[in-house]
Amino acid sequence: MKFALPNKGKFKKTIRQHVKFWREVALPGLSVVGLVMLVRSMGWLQSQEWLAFDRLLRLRPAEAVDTRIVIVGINEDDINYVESFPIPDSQLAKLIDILQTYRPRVIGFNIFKDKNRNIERTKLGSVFRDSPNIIGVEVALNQSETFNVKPPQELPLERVGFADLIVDADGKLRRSILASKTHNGELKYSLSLRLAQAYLHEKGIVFKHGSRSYDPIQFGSIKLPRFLPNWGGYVRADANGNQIILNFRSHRQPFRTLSLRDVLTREFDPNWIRDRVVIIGMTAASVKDNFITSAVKGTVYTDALGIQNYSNQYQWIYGVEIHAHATSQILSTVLDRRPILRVWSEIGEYLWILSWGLLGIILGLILQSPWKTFLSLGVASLVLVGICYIFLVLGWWIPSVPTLLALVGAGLTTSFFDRDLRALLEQRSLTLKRSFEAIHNGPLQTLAVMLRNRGEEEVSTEELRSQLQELNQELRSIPDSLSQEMLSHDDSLCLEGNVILDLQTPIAELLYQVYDITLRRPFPGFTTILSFIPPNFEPLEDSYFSTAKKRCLCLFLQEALCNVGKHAKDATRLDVICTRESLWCCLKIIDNGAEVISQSNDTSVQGGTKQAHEIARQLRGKFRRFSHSPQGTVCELTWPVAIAWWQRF
Amino acid sequence: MSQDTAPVKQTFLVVDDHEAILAGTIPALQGKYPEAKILTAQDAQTALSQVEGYHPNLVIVDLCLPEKPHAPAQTEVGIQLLKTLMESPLAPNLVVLSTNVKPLVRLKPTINAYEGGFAAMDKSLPIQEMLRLIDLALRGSIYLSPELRSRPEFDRKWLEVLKLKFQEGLTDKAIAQKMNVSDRTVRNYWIRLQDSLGIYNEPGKELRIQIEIAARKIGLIN
Repeated sequence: MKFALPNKGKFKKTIRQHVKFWREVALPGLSVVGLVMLVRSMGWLQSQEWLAFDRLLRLRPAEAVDTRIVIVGINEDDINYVESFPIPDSQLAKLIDILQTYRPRVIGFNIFKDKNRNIERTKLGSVFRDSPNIIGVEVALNQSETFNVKPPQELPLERVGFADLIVDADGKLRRSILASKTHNGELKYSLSLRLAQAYLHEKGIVFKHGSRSYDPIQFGSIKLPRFLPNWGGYVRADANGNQIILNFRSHRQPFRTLSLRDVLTREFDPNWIRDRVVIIGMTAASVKDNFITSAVKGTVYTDALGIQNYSNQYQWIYGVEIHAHATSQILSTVLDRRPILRVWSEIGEYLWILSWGLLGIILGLILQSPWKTFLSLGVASLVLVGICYIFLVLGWWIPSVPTLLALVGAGLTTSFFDRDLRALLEQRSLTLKRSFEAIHNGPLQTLAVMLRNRGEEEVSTEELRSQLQELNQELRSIPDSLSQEMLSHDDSLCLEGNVILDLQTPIAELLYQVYDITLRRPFPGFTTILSFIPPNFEPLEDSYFSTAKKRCLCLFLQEALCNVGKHAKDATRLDVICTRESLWCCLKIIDNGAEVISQSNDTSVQGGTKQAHEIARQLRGKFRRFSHSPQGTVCELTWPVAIAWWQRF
Repeated sequence: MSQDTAPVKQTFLVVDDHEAILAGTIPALQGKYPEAKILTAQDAQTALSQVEGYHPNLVIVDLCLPEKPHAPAQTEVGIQLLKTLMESPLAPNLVVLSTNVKPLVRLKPTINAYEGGFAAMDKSLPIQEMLRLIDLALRGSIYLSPELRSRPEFDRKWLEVLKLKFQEGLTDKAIAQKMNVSDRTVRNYWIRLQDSLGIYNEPGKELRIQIEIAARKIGLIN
């Protein structure tokens, strides 16, 4: 490749052209992209982004069941089984006792037991006191104390985790609070973090956290990324404390689940409990410890209902399951290096949106047909969604909804504006072409005839005047006929004077009209002809001609006949032949005049020849002009027949 | 069968949606051709069924016609009717009467090759002129008003007749066979050549030779 250094003036001009191009063509698309980014930064796309996020999460391939965690869910059947509600403390104590015999590593007790003044409590209280691996729950983060629930008093503070959860503006649960200060300034940890901490402690993995809730939480060398107000699709979200986005385990039944009765009757595999995290909680619909999500493949609730399709936007998920998901997430991140959900920096996200917007603009620009643009935008959108999905599987939440909007919006806008601009340019060049055609086939022909006659014999002033008047008439009629032709949506053709032909007429009749009308013109070449052999254009009838093609053929015939009229000397015979041989059509105009034109320097001839070649090019055919034996000239146009698609069958 | 052998009885069909024109035309026709049976139709559909039923040897058509009774009259309908008639094997001789015969220019290639006679004239011309043209059409000639025929035209098919006759020496029957047309067509082509070359029957002159001489003169045959 060679690079020539442009000189300054040229460079400036290029710059100016570029600026003009961008202003006219790229600006509309860019403003759409800008608008999308603005709307996103205002947070108006949050719910759409959440929805897309949930949907992609749910579509992830299934993961393995997390066997480190077992849920003991007390359901309606269990309540019926013990025939008492709330579940008597004696039964709960018995439950823990049985579980302990199978040596679980840690037990999360997700049932509020802040009141200890009943008689049955003694047993449960002693179980709490005697088991160093039980972690109880409280509700601690509400500003008003009346909404908070105290932990079981038998448990020391380090064996209590809060069960507070945070719900997004669309009522769905996506985050989990790991650590937070209460309104009294006390730093507290969640049940899930406490459980993970206890489990990992046994494995010798050290938990590290600063004194402030938003200090990074670290297990061994693994840092849990903290949720921030503008994280991913969130805009100005409440990111108080140390939150993490829930990376729900992708499985229909992500955890082993036992019921109270299973445990009391010891109907379970002991291996399910040994060294595991056991979380006890209510999974009874009547207890209302449930939340809404649409990011999971299945929950205990859907499982109990036997729902097979999880397309429902609102799935019930019990509190105990959420703690299980949150605990499982920490454990598998630390132990299995399961990806934590991460996001790009905000700048990265907006650059990503911008670049897809630019792709949309480019597609709108380079693909000229709107259908191609639609198709390519569709394909690009699919690719984009695919990329977002793959990234999510790898643990990255990247913007999909605003990117999609930017891509499609910018693409369509650009295509629309570009088409408009291009249509305008096309119209301009078409107008120029038509004007030239009108002048060339009308007054220029008359003028040529006048000039020729001038050389031969003396023309009387009277005759000259009438010819000039005729020319004047012809020139004046051009604007009218042109406007009529151009405004009638290309369906008409204006021959010389003010004859307007309807291009919807069948091709054979149309060409015959051109033949007939052209031969009426007062050209000297026609006066000597003794025999006109009229053409029969019927062979063309069978194939389809677009109005553009019809126009081409009419103009060609007109031009060829005019040439005979102007240049053929003493021709006595004019033969116009139209034939069709399988896929090729041929139109021949043969005269037996004396002149051979090919060498002529006459500019009107050159213009005519150029026009004929141009027409041949448009028809994808050939144009030839050659001598006829024994004398005369042949004008020949051959072109392939377009077979309409319905005729191919 | 007996009808075929009897002297041909002429049947005319006049198609026009104006009662007044019919009333003016029919007596004149009847006066000149007292033997002829004269049918009338006021729309294209009726005209076609009449042609099928009675095989008229002359059809006089107005270009501007309604498609069926009470429909609006349109030039396109007349053109379509003419096309249908010219494609039918009956090939009746045709006379077109109209206030505007210009649209016929589209049909000229078909008219030139048509088996039957064809005449077109402006409705405003006198009745005598019409009768003259009907005569021409019955004879097999083509007559088009000056606005339709402004130059000496020789259809390619007529030239083929010339060539087959004077270069290959074929009889009319052989020419008809070779060109795959009826004897009547060839006969009518001769008449049209004669018309176009401006040759008239003169006593003591051989018509075909006259045609040959004139055709050679203008280079229609070498």
